[in-house]
Amino acid sequence: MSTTRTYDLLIKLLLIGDSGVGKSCLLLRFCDDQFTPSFITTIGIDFKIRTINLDDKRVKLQVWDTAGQERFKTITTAYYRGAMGILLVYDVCNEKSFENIRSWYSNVEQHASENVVLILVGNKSDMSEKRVISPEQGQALADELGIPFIEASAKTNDNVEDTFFSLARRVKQTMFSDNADANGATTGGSVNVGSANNSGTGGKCC
Amino acid sequence: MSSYSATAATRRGSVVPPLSGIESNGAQNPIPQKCDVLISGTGLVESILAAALAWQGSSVIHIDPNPYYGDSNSCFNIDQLLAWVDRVNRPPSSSELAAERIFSNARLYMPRPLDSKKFLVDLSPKIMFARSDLLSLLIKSRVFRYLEFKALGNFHTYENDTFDKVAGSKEDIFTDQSLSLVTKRNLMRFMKFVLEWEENTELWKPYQNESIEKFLTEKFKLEPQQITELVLSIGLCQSLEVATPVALSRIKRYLVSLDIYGNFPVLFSMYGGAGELAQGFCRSAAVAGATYKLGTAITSVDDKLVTLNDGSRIQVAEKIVLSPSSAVKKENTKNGILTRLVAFVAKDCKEWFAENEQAALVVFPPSTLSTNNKTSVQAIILGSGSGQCPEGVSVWYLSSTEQDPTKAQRDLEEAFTKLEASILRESTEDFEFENIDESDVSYRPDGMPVLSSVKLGQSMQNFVPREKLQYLLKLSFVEKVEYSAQPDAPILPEETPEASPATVLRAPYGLSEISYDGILTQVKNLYTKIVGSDDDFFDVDFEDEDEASAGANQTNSSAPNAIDASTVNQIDSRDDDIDEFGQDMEL
Repeated sequence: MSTTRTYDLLIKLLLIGDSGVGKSCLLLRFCDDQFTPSFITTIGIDFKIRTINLDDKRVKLQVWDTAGQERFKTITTAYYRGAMGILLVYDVCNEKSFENIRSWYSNVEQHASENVVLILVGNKSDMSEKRVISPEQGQALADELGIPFIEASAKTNDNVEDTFFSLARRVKQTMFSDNADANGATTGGSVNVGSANNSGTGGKCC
Repeated sequence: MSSYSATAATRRGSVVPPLSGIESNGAQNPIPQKCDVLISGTGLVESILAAALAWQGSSVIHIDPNPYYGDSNSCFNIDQLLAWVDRVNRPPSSSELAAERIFSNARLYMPRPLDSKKFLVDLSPKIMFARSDLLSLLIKSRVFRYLEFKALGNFHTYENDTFDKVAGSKEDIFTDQSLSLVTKRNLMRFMKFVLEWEENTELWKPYQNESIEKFLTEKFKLEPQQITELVLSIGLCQSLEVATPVALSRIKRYLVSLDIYGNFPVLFSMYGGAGELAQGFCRSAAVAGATYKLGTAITSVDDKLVTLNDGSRIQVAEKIVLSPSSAVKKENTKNGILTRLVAFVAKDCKEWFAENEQAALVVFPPSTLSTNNKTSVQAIILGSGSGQCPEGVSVWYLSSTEQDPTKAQRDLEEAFTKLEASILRESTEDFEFENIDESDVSYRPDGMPVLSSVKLGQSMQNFVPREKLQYLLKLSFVEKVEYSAQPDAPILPEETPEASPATVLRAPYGLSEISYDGILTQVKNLYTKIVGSDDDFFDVDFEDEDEASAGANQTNSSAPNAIDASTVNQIDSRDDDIDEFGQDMEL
């Protein structure tokens, strides 16, 4: 193990869902407390970090965006690797994005690790005028997939904290139970090429 | 309002449509109608190029005719592999006659079905030297964050029916009891020289066009066995005939890579080699704004107006770049071949790995096999820690640069048999230690007895294994690679350094080289033809905004990110270090 660090756990989270459902907005709202109303395709966001307190642990959340590669369903398989929690996001005003959740779910099943923790998120819950998917429909789909469900609004910051916190809490419970070696489970024997010659322990990183 | 209902959900039940069922959001999100550069094929060369151009500010559309990333560098699960083998062996239809075919002669043996997801077959497994231009770029571009690397410390040389672990460091030479004092001294003198060989011209200039074998014999009085290990294992050259300067730079490459990250010279990426790196660069390109669409091919090019098979038309301002497999067959041009043999074997093969490692390299030098091989057979052995196979299984990647395909196949099969016999011997518990006494046994720090491998090999020549090795899968195929008049020589930048007048550029074939060396030169050649020079190749200040913003905006967090910032600084300073060296290595 390495020198002191400012967090107890590092959790990698992913956002998945159709273009335009507000994945980047949720990410920016949660990590930077910012909101950009205009439609922008995802350019320039790789991942962002926010450290939160969770049951007396400092948990560093690394939240990865799709980098726009969801537009033509060209998410790299590498994107899913090491992901501990995934937010499946649809837009409550866009029926297609809701229907496509099943396909994204199947993609996650195919590429993510078996014990990855999921949550279904209906974004833009503030837009009552344009809503086409009811909370009941969202809940029904979540029940069918066997995952929790939440509605949120990146614009009004409604439920955004709850969304990320509840997912992070479940990841912590599932993957970092007291008897599981969190670091060993994810990076056993890996070499951190970003910091050369730091360990002197035969290439084991921390 | 909504046609979606709970009934619909129930009706569809557990039938989950594949991802191809996802439709893009229609008019809101069409493929761009124009771009600076259109690239077809997502192999490693094209993907690094896409990222370099995107970060340089060009608008890039990157497509691939296949529904997956990686092109000829892909890493397949079993289902994908079966489809690929069918494709490779299918005779071309009349419309495909002109199309380039990179792979041929795929032969697959799979005695029973395997769990598709648990096995990955890499079409182009490669190792990465800890000091190399590509690793420097991975760090500088921060693409390394999308990847996971592991160590490979053990290089074995096959000779006289034994697999000796190569003494690659000064410490190894010092402690190697099979070496005489004179040999040790000569080796040490050479090790010192080779680290600064470029400056010591007076010593090697007379041998510039002579073989490394002659040079090492005459100038350093090295024994054949040491020469073999230095040139063919440490240098990973194809034969002892390699020109002196070429071999010297390759031996140095190994030595300067030791102790960068630990006591090993090379790394490998998990879940696949060049294909994983390609995906990483594609994501990087996407972050810089490149548009990605797979399963999409060019149907026609009219000057700079390109039509795709999805019906869209793209006006290209600068260049169209085609991967070899996206292009038409190259006529009247020489190419080389690389023959591969891949096997999943029901043995973990940990006997070959260094402690806590999951990989090893084995070299069969020329003339060591009964097929009288003219070139080396090189093998990368990966354990389950590679993410490519389940526990208790290993994957063997053998390759030969022999240009006669029949002979190459025979060399590979013979090397495979030797590996098989060796692992059966080494992993058999009830092996009887004939002719071995106490003096042949040494003890590891953990108290485990270890036999001197020379003696072990001798006594094992008569060994008949009681069990047979179980293959889960065996595959061989032939790949078209760049023709090389001088094997192992570094790829040199092309003569014409200015932008190319042609609109359509063809990316080069892959390289037979087992490491990633040479690939960046290929990329920069293309980059220069598009941009005019490679001065601004990845000349981007990758500010660590994520870490910075995390520190600045943590309104709800009690944890300051001081350590994160210092880690970043550490990365940056290492980066400079390695960069400097990377230039060195380009020669």
